[in-house]
Amino acid sequence: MIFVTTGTQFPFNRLVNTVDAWSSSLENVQVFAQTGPEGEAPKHIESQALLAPDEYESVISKTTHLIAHAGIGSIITAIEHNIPAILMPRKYTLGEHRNDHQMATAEKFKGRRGIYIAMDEAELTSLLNKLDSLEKPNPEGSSASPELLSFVKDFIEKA
Amino acid sequence: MKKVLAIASGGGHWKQLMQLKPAFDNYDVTYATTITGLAEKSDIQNAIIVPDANRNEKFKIIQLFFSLFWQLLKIRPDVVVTTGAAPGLLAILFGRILFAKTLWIDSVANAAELSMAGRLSKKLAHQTLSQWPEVAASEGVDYAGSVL
Repeated sequence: MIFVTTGTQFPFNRLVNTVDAWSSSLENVQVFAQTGPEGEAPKHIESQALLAPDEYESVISKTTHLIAHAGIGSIITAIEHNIPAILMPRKYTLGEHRNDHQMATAEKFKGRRGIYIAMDEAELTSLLNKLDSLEKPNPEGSSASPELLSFVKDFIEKA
Repeated sequence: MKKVLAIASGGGHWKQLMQLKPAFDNYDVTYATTITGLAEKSDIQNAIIVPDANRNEKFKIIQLFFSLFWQLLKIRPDVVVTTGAAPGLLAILFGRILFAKTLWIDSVANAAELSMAGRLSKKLAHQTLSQWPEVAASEGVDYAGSVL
């Protein structure tokens, strides 16, 4: 199943509508979208504004491809569960977030295995068209770097 | 045993806190977040739920303010660790008032500059970290690895 998510804070209609339009011409593709608070409901794909933690987990367990905003939660989900992800950053100029940090996140994660960046709707559609060839991320990063873990332990120890 | 409050808003901030869970395992840790049922997904029982708020939601910030201060008074942590956002910043402020050592780990999402809360925490927290070396250097904070 393809899971589209805009995170828990804001809608991201540009993302959902692009996937909706792409999927309208296809048969046998199962798509589900979490559209965020006050997100427009897509026409062709099943959706829900916000998933409860239980529901989110059950959706993720069935997800083969993740299509998301360039939010860190989505990136961690993809890496943790070894799901290839296509991310499109929100744009501040379009009122999609409080600032442009998702553009910076997208830049930094560009080229990481299993994480694909679409800067706009056209790039998103072209990535969607080659969904089957996308690689999975390496699941090695499912806890923080050893350096950060020992820094935090040390900080607590010295308190 | 050291008492630790590990706090983060639901969503990406919480996911980053969970990446740090191995660092807390040997302490008397209390977890706090903003979404009911989230902590249980990481096998954490008895997590504290506080109201969520961002800087544009004044009334919610007031609710969060009182709820969180009460929780900190009850827990009296020795250490407060947060990966953001607003609830974490307030926990750092209250932690300082109650003589806890405080650590702000700015979200890995902030790859170009510190978050606004991260900038405030530079003045409030004992230690502020960025998860990107370049950002740490330009903002005058430390870098000590990343959750990814």
